[in-house]
Amino acid sequence: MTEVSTTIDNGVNVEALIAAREALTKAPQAAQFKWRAACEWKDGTHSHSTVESFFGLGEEQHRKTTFAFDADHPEIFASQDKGATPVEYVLVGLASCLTAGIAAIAQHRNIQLRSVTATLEGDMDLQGILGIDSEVRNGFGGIKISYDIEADAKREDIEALVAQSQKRSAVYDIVTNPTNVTVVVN
Amino acid sequence: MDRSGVLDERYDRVDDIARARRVPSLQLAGTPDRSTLDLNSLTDIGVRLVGRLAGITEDGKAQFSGSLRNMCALSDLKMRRLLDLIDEWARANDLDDRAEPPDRLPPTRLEEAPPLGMDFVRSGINTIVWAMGNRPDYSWLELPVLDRKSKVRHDGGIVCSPGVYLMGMPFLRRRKSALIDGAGDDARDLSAHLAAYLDNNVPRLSA
Repeated sequence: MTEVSTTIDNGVNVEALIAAREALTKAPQAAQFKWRAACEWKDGTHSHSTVESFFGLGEEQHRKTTFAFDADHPEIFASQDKGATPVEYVLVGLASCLTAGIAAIAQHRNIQLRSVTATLEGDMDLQGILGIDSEVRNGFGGIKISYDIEADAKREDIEALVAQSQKRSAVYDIVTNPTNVTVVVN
Repeated sequence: MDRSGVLDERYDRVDDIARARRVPSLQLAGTPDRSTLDLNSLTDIGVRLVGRLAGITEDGKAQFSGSLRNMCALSDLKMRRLLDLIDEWARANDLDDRAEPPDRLPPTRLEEAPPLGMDFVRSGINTIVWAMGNRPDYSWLELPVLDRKSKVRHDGGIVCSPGVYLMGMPFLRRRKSALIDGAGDDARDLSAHLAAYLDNNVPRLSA
């Protein structure tokens, strides 16, 4: 890989990430993070969730603001449409994770990104969640993501960015591999 | 890979040596006609590709990862990069007229929606072959030279315990270190180091 003068700027502080990686290699305990969310039912299928604190680098971490999310079902579901559906939040999570990864990897590989947009679609057979057909799953039958990327790079290098982003994506892993979910009632 | 110098690539010139050392060993096809053996040729004879085994459900069914498409994309991209590198080397060394024109294998074909699970019994699978690679067992080694993952700590084969060396591991000093052909160059380097260590540390018996 040739060293290019660092006029490439995708806004990602790759040096900090590499330093963090080295530090955490020596202190794996500090790499144990916990991400959190809280959710409060409002009315009907509308709920309001917040995200603020998380645990990492050995201690509780706080943000300057609390992030807020409203979720609901659309009107054709006889609901109030006060927010995006939970499954759409999953698509947003996946898109955001992959897109952030593309930017970080592009920075590391000295590729200047000009624009990156993604469109996502998850197909769902409602016979699953409505309990009509037991052979149909509740979740997506499949998710398709299309990226439009303009960058100062060959097509294969752009494809490699997108492939590498999936390889190192948290949400892609959560969605494509099994994850233990434990639900308790206090 | 040998002629173009890829196999001689040194461990201290690689971007991420830890990752490079985890790369699985080369798949080799030993037929005299050198016919291609890849996932597409397996698919052609009726093999069905699925994602990595990700789990077994409570009722004993296999679960496969949904990342198969990306895994195949990553391999196809990596192969193309290697072939590009070899073609560039051939061009730079004026070998173009002696070689066949560059060609590329088609991308790995996959089903539109590869299965995410399988009931082996119902599917008629009677035999499972685990091809998981191997891991060294250093339980016999009574030296404090292992890291927290029980691998030997070393720098290009020079172990962190005086007079101790490691040989034959993947990308130990060069990409070819785990190959028979790689042993010679590595042994030369490490025995030079060992000789220097002996000269400086071991009192000579009278000549």
